[in-house]
Amino acid sequence: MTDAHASTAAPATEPVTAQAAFSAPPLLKIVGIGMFVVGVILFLLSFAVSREVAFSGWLIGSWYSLGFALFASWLLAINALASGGWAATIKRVPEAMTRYFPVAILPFAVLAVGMYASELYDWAHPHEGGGAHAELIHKKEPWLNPTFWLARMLVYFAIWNGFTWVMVKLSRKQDVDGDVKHSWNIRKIAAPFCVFFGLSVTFASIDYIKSIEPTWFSTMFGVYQFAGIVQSGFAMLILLLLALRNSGHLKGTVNENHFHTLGIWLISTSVFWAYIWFCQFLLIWYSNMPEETQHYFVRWNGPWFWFSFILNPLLNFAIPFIILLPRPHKRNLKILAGVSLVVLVGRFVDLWQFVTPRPVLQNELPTATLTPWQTIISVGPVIALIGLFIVVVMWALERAPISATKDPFFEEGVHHHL
Amino acid sequence: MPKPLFVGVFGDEDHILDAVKACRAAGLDFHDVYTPFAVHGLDRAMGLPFSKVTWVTFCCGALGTTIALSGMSYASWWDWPLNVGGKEALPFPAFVPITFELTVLVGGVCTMLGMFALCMLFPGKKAKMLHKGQTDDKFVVALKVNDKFDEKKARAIFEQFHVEEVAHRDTDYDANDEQAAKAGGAA
Repeated sequence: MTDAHASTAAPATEPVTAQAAFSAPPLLKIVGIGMFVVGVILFLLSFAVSREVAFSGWLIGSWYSLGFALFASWLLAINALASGGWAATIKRVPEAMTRYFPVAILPFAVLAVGMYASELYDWAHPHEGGGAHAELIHKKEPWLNPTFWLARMLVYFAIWNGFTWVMVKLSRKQDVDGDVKHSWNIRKIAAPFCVFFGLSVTFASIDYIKSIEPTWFSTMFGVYQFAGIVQSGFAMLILLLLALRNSGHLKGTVNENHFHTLGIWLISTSVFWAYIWFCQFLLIWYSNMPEETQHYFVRWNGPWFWFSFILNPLLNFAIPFIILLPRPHKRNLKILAGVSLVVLVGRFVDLWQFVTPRPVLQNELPTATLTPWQTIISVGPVIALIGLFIVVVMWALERAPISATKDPFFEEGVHHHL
Repeated sequence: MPKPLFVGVFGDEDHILDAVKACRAAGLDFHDVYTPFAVHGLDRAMGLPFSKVTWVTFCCGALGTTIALSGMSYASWWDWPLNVGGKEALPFPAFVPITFELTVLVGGVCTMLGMFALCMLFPGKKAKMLHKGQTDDKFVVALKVNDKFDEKKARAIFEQFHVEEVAHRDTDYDANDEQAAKAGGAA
């Protein structure tokens, strides 16, 4: 933030007329509510398959949708730290995306019910009769027990929601007085937030997902989930911006240069995801140790192979990489929208193939014997919570002007050029 | 055979950008534009097509992939099957890191070589400068003197955007070489 940028902001004493509030396109709200209803019906139907499948699906959906809010908080923080001027014109959308954090407590509460009421989390129930598996679980009890698990989750939500709430509040204050000091304060908050973000996402991903296989070891799990979160987050951000643009908003301020930048982010996060996904697999495949290979054994041998090792890298890496490689494709809004949809489907496949099949050690669980297609209904909660997420984002966007015109980087963002 | 040029020297990147846009709008042909640093948007203002170097990168990257996969398959499976740690003879996951590295290496090195080739740069090439300041603080527009060229028009555009020096040169002219500089003639 140089002086040249500071001079574009209005002095604090100047009287400011409030910008007209943004009213969200009704179609998007209807789509969001419709997805929520359809998804919840599918979720309820999935109890007919089994309670574990239903709550596996809910776990996928709640982590999937929480990832959008996590991504948005990360994007706001790194842009504040790196003076990402190009993002000043779009920053209202990630700000609105972070308002999903307080709402995400509700899907999490359903998951907590599932923790008690189903065999989803192996460690949450006493193991009768002992055995090697039960003994291993028992040794992890100081960390993996329901009370501490719930307490940790509340801490994560408090960190995420607290930091982003302050960042959004400062941005709203800047709308009124246009003071540059708010940008400096956001930056001061963003720096410690990045540290807390890295730690909390790693721990939360282990608590949320990896703990369904408590005897499996992977040292790459946190960064693997982070890669998936930012990749699907950029896909969602692109789709939200395109939906807003197609309904007549953001016209003079977001153009193909901004989408080009987002397209570069999408292809590079796809490559990053593939790198991390393959790193995790390669080291385990090479060293071939039972406590690590148990996770991949069930996915490498059997019908899940096609989902875990063919469809997953195809949707999350090969298609976005090859299609987005040429420059004109990153500036073509239709191609960008199509690739974003592919990435969002890929994110579901990534989580689905992770959550649903169980390793051989837990063969007694009902889901271990199901074929992939018998659990495809797990997509229900994903649809429901994406719908809820869209409604929350639209609600949050209506609380503020759609363009942060008082942001010191706003002019730079409008003239962003690639 | 040296070709005649009409040269304008500017002292500011914004002036040269505007002058280049005006010259293009007036239908004048560029020989080239020389700047001490990359001026953002200049290639677009000159109407240059997108660089072909991306194709060099793509094809050479694919070549690197092919070299890596075929080389490793030949050495550890076709020619003499190796048993490494009990893995299958054609262990694709083990090939991936080296395939990735060779794709990046061959693609990256060839991008650099391709850029040199497209810019006609090679070791021992003698640098010719239209103006001594073009690698320091001056911005030089060189227009082709062909049948589309109109000196009055060009001079008017240059002067409109605060040109510092206007001269007739040719493609053999070298500001570093006194004799050639004399032969090329001054304004």
